[in-house]
Amino acid sequence: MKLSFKWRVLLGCLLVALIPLLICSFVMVRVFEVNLRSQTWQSGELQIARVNEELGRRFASYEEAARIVAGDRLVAELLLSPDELRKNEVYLTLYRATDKLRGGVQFQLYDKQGVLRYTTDSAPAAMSLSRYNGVLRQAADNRDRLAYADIEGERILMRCAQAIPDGSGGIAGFVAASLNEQSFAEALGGLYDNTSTLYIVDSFFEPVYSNSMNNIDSAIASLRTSYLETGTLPYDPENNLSYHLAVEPLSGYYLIIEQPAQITGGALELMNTISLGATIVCLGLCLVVSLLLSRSLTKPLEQLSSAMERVKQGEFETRVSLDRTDELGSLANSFNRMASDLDIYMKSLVQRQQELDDTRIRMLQAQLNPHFLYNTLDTMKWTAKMHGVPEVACLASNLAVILRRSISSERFVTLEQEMEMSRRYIDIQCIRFSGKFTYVFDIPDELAECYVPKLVLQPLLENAIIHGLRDSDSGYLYVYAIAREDELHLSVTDDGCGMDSDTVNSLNSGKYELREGHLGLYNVNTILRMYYGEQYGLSASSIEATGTTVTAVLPMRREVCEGDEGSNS
Amino acid sequence: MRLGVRIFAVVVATLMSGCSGVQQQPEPQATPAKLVIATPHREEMYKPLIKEFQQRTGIWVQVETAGTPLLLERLANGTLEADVIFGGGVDSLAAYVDGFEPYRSPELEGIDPAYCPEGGEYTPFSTLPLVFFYNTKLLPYGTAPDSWGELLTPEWQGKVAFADPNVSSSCYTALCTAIVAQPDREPAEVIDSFFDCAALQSGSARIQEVVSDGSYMIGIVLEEAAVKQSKLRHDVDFLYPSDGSSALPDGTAIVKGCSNLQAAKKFIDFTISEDAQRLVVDMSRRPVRSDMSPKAGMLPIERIKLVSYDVQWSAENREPILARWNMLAAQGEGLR
Repeated sequence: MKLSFKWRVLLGCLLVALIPLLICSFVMVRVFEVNLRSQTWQSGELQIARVNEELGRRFASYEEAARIVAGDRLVAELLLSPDELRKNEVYLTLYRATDKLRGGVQFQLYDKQGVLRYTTDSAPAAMSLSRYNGVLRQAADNRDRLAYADIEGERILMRCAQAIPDGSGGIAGFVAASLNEQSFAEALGGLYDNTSTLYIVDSFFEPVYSNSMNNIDSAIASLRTSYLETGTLPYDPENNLSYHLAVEPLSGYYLIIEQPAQITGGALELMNTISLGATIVCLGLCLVVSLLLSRSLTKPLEQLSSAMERVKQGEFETRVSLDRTDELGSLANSFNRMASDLDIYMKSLVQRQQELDDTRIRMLQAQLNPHFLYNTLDTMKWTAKMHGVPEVACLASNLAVILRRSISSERFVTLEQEMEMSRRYIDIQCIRFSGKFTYVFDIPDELAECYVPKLVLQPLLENAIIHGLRDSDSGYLYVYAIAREDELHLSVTDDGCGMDSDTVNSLNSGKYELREGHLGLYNVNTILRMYYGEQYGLSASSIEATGTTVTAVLPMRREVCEGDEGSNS
Repeated sequence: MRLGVRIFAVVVATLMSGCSGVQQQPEPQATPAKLVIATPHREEMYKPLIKEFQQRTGIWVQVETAGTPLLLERLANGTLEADVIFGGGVDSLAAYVDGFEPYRSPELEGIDPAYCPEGGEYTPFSTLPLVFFYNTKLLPYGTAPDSWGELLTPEWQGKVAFADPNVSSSCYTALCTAIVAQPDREPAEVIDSFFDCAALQSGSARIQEVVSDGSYMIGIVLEEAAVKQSKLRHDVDFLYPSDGSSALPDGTAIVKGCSNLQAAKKFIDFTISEDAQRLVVDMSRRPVRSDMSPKAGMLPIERIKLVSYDVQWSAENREPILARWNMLAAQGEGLR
């Protein structure tokens, strides 16, 4: 997937900012929630265990008390045949047996008809109980243990009773305990949280006690329905209530603790909303920062890129100005320098091209109609011959040949051909300066086929004859060619007055400029340099009053190379 | 890049999955045996019985309460979701015998056969004589009408507390009783005069209340309610109409096609068992067991003048009788 730089920066920022935030906030919220739920659960289980334990303890103590009373012979006897005078003995037994148990709990003794005979209560709830139904019936059916029954509609909430045997398999009466709301509250008060609701229900989910008695019936009704249908108590997500269930073994009663959630759905939602909000803010921040960052990078790069485009089109004056001191700033500076260097280079190229053109124009201007020249010279030659002036004939014919060669379009000739031209040139000069000098050509045969620029030697010869042999009566000219590695050295040596050191030095240095009266050497130097390169050209050595040697250095060429031509002719 | 995206997706999914919330719940127990009872009885009436039944059999009972006609209507529609209908005068039950599963309990031996239907579609529970219940401050002793003939006269127009016989089965029984007890009057005439005399209350339970608090001088109630009120208050009393009252039992019936048939049968057995009938006696109702007498202080049944109330006739004529009553009620609305 190829993304532009801008998008990669954005994506990177997003990843760096969002992932830790998401992980932190959501993980934290989840961990917190799970932890809290688990803690709440643990606490609920603990509460119900405590309540169960206390209730079981109390019931066990009632069982014990009932066992004592039921086992007492006196009690049985006096229930069967009541004796008002011995009432206090029964009460003594009763009170002793139920010592420490009577905080809100009342104890009664009923005879075998179910009529109340003895009670610790000053205002008993029921003067008689049915023998055929209810707690006395249960006690009669299950001897030797307490029967438990919840009571509707009276001041008390539950009653437990045990049959008192009469010693011959029958029942003398019943011992019973009755518990009201206060006794439950006192017994179980501090064992569970204020926020939890405790329900005690019998084994058929008939309500016995709750710490909020007002709506016990409706609450239990819905729990009962759920328990009947599913065998378990519901988790009520709407009201965030969770339930714990335990069974008290002695009575078979169910204990239910209803716990509200420690953290409401609303609070959780709020936390989630805040996380979401923070995420969105982060997202926005990321976007902004990444946009700014990428802009600060891509804008200068675009500037550079468009500048380079313009330079490519040929606008070498293009410069990039970035007001920055960082890497991009130095890049811009380098670009600017490069552009200006390019500018200069291109200008110099143009200049050289122009100079070449100028030279060519000059050459063209120098051209005259060749046929006119040839014919005139020819006429001169024949007229001279007819009138018996052989020197004139020689001058004219040599000149004609030289002119023909110089006008011709070819630019390179063999060394042998060049020497031929040089001889003719010198012949002319000989006639002009008759008898004044002698010359020698020394060209090895193997170099005769080398190609050299046309009329390259002529300026050297001219320079030697005119400047070198100016003041001499008889001079000596030595023209020779040497191969040195892949270079060809053509030298003209004269034994004249010598060249002044200025000219020698400037020739050798390669910076030979046009001077008055040295046009020939300048041209040769220029031609050699332009054809072959800066490392070729003329060089000179001279000893005052002894002689001068001017050497043209050019590469050895056995055939004409197109590449040597500086431009089309 | 792909690997990174995958890892990210997995992490996010893990985080989000827990958000639904796994709740710890108590271990589910095995669902116990249950029985669904539909009853028109009041809570103080059915609660002790049902608690006792649960205690003895271990069957969990779910109770739905509604008026008798409503329950029977639902039964006819097939929308009654109960195993047993507990309560309702037998004249109402007799009209819907097709919806009941017949059952002859072994305990029926102790029951007066006059109360039991031939087909065994329902089992009687307690007998309920009708009485005139009156306020002694407003109607001193001797001035209260002592027969249907005396009561259903223009003198008592609009003064007799009553309830809509469409809704209250005891009131329907009263209407039929009045017709049967006055053979020399046309049934239509009896219905008309009854309608004129009746001051309709919101329910049969209200009748005893409005007589007790003095809003009305006299009302037609079941003996049980009258006895209870008389015990509580000194300014109310009741009498049995001299031209004949009826003592229709109310009954218990198993709904045909119910899901807890065994439990339903056990319940029926329990309702006519000695212990249950003892509870009935304690509640000032008359037991259906022939070996048991009502609570001390109540007139033995032989001493009450009863008309020969034909349950079948009452069931068959239910529609026309109620239609006439409703027509009168509609006319009355129009007049007002």
